[in-house]
Amino acid sequence: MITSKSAVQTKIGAFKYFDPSLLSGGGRLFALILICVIMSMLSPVFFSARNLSNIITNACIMTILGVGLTITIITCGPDLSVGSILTITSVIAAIMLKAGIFFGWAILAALALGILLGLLNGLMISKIGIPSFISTYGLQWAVFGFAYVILKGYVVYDFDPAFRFVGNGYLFDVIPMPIIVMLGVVIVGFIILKKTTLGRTFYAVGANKEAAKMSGINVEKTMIYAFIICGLLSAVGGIVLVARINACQADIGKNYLLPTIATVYMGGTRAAGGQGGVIGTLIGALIMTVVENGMNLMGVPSVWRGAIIGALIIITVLVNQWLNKKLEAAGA
Amino acid sequence: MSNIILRKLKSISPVLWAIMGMVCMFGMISGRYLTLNNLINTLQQGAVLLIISSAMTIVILSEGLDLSLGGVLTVSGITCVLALGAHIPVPIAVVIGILTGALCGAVTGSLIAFCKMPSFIATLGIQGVFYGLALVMTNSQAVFTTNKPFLVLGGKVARYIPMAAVLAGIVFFLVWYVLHHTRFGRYVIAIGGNEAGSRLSGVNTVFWKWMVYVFAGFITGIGGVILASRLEAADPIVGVGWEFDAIAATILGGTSFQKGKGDVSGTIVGVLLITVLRNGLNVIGTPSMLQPALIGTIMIIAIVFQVGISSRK
Amino acid sequence: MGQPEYLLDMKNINKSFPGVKALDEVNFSLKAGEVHVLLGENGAGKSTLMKVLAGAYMPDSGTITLNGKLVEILNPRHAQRLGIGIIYQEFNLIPYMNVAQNIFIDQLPKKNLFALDHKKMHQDAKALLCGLNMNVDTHALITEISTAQQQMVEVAKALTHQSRILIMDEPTASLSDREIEQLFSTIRELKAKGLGVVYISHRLQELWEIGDRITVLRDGQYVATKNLKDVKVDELVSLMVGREVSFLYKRDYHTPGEEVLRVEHLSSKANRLKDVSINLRRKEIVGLAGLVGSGRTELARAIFQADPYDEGKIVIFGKEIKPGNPSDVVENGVSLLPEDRKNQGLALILSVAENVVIASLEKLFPRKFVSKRKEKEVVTKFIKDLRIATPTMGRLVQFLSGGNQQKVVLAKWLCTEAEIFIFDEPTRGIDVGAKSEIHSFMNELLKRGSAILMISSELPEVIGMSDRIYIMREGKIVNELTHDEATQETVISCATAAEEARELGCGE
Repeated sequence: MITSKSAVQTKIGAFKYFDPSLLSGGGRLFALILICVIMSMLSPVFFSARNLSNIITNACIMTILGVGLTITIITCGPDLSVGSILTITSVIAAIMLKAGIFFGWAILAALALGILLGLLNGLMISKIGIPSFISTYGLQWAVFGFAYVILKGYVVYDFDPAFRFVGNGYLFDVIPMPIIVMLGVVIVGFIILKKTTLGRTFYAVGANKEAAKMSGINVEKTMIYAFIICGLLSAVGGIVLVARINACQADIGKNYLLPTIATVYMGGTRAAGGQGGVIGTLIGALIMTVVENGMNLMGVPSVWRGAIIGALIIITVLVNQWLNKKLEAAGA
Repeated sequence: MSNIILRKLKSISPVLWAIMGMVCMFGMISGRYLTLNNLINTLQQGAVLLIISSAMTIVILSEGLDLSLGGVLTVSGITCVLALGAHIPVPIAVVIGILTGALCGAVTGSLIAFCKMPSFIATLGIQGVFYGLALVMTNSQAVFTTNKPFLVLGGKVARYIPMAAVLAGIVFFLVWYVLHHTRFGRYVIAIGGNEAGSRLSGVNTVFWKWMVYVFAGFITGIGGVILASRLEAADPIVGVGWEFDAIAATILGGTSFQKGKGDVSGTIVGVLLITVLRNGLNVIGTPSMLQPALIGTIMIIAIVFQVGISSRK
Repeated sequence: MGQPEYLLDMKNINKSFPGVKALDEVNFSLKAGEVHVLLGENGAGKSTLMKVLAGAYMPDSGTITLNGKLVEILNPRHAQRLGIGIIYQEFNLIPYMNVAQNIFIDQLPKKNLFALDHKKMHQDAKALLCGLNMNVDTHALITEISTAQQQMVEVAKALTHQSRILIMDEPTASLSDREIEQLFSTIRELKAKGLGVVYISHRLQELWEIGDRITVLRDGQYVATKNLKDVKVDELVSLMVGREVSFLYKRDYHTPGEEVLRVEHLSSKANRLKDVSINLRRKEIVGLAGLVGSGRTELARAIFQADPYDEGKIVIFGKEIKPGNPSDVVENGVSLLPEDRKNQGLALILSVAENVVIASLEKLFPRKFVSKRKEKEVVTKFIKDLRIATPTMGRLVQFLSGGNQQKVVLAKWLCTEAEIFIFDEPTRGIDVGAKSEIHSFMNELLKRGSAILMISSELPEVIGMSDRIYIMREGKIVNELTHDEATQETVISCATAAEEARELGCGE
């Protein structure tokens, strides 16, 4: 047992900066699950057209939000306001579109709002010192409230087709746009985390805040950037979602938080920060998709969904914790 | 003794000023505000919040967080009402409801104390499970009850005083008493103030940490039963958002996230602030669409001030 | 026949940790009603010996006899039950709880099934404290009382377990003269009650006032046990220090260049620094000597802007630095290798490569994109030059040995092309081979024109490697010695205020 783990460790060295927690003990688990994912995708039942569209939508939105969440979890802690930022940015965009404003400005406004809210989160957490889960949890309520104020109970729909292309269109006539956006976000997220100096500071602050400070890193700025990116990506998710379903209402983002958190932890990102990556999150999203699809196929009533997701989060974090302990014991 | 009171007043005086300011403001805007009727309403509305906030304060004093208390509130109300529906005698149904809360707390506490999960992830996850249970148990709709003896809990005493407020007062006093006059209460502060040091000093910190969540669930269970009585129904989504109010009330009451600093007695002031705010906005005719946003924003600003100011000291 | 003379008799205690023998055939005994001082420099083994007694460590070999009976102390709780109480320098007190409750935290008295008996608790607490000649308000919160009073609370706490032996680790480190007097009167009360007190301290000026016997340890070895009334200051100092400087530190001495760092009148109330002024020039190593708690690390952190300070001016490369963040000074070419390298110097869950480049991101990758090729090039060079033993550069740092971890920290700063290096205990816990490697790297740095400020508790290292030495005591600079003037005796003398002790006529 120990020998094979060390062998894997050495292979990890060859992969350079591939996340160790993805490949060793946990990695075998995920490989197994990945196989299930692929198999279920090949099974004919998967391709029931009714399901497919919903599944793609959900998977894409979760991944887009998940990338942002991954970054904040690596750096500091989960941004619990992602669902609310998604909501309010899409509400603003929807209203602007309905008012006849050029869709480009609507999108820009939504993105700007996402950045602003992310900045607010970052400031509360780094400058004032409110723990991340409290301040983002609190912001979430206020933001959902504002979305409700703006849109009340109405549903806005039927948007400018140019705008809707982001959600409905196909690239090369084959690949749905949401997937393109999602892949784009994942690629950008991957580049930021693994290929830029900013990404390095995210990992450093998450791994050891004190050591990062003592190495000359500006911890406050780093945390603020993490939350700004997350806010921005939440806005991107909002735009894609509204464009795709061609409708917007004040509780549009309500159900994304828990599944997205599950996605990120399933992808192997460490709860305490400092380790993880968007590739893992992508895999996590695929797994979540299978889980949701599976629940659909098995006819699991929607009332159980929340409970299952919650349980999944807990199980995943526990498993990750346990695996990390084993990994440390074996590698030492 | 007077030293302690003075200290307490100093830490929450901005909040007291805010409350007085709001009362004046609301009173000036609407003639319907400063009435006996409204006072009774305010007491009624703040009762359950006081109960759940007291529970949350205990958890926060131990340097933890329980985001699932809203779910616990919901589930305990449901088991109680369902029991009533199954013709179980009222006292037993009430006990069932309360024990459900304790059981929920026991599960949550196991994850945190025994499995060593960070409290916010554990409670965030288990919250989903609780609401799922709630939806399943009630078939996704509110379950009504017309059980007269039970409704007494949510009714009025002596024609004016809301029973809920009386019960809330009793529960609050119970929590205060436990915190100050039992070993468990001292262990809560010990764990929050210096967990490692307390363990080295001989305190069984793992077990008592678990107990914190069991106790919080127990107290919240009482709140859930009372809420169900007041609403005359068990609603599977009734608890949504209550945990945020409870956290806000605790913080505004001067309790800190770290080091076991603070007290339930401050929480009652925090609850007062939030209740006065909600009630006042309602009475002066703020459109109900506007309320969540306004309240959420004000509370965030208040928290920022409270945390910011106390960290400067 | 009759009562055993000794409460405690430890014989031939041996304890090793990976790479270092902490205790080598050490003996220690304690009589009832005696204060037995345990003396030695940093790293002499005092702490380790006491941790063995307190059940925190298990000895590799040797015997411990309590009251004439042979015992094996299994864990801290067991030690407590055997009547051994220890008061560490970091107190185990709960900040927002009152004194009485802290004292009785693991045996809170109840008056019935649920309720605490506050009255009894406060009565008993008051009685305990008065018995120690201490007047502390039992209703006060720990945050409201002074450090000296907190210490009293810890003493009272230990007494609630019927301790017969009380170990006090540097108890006077943060006390004023008056508080020290109070502490001593408390200790005399304990003596009168028949307890034995182990008193660990290096403040020579007070030992004769409170101690009966004294045992000196050096480099983990037992040196001698004497009666304090039979021994004088100078003898103690030479017992502490008297060793052959058996291996020479190779230093190439250069003429110091321009001044690169100047600290003027730095004071910090929170970190107990008082009016500190030092300077540092290129091509020299300035040593900061002193005993634990003298303020050396605090000074280093203040220079590095890791902690705020109240007064003073810091000038780096001729520019005055305004109080701010470490990032400000790192930009200007200053580096700090911290004492606690695992928690402050490294991110343990990141790889060797990631740790090495983390402080030089802007320098290495000005266009914000990390070039793996460049990283590999740079890191491989450092691994080679510093001879860091790691199978790959992707290995997580937590799996490296102490010496190699320190080399990674060094590599990190070399990578920043820093010119001012602050080393805080650079070779602590590192084996001999790696130690001399690090010293030769220091030489290299000087040749290139860098300047080094070195904090070290190892006398031979500080004396062997420094051009000049500042000696700190209680947050002040008390002396500055050149390389030629510095001998182990003079350094220890200054660090322990032996001079003062001599003036007071101690031991005469």
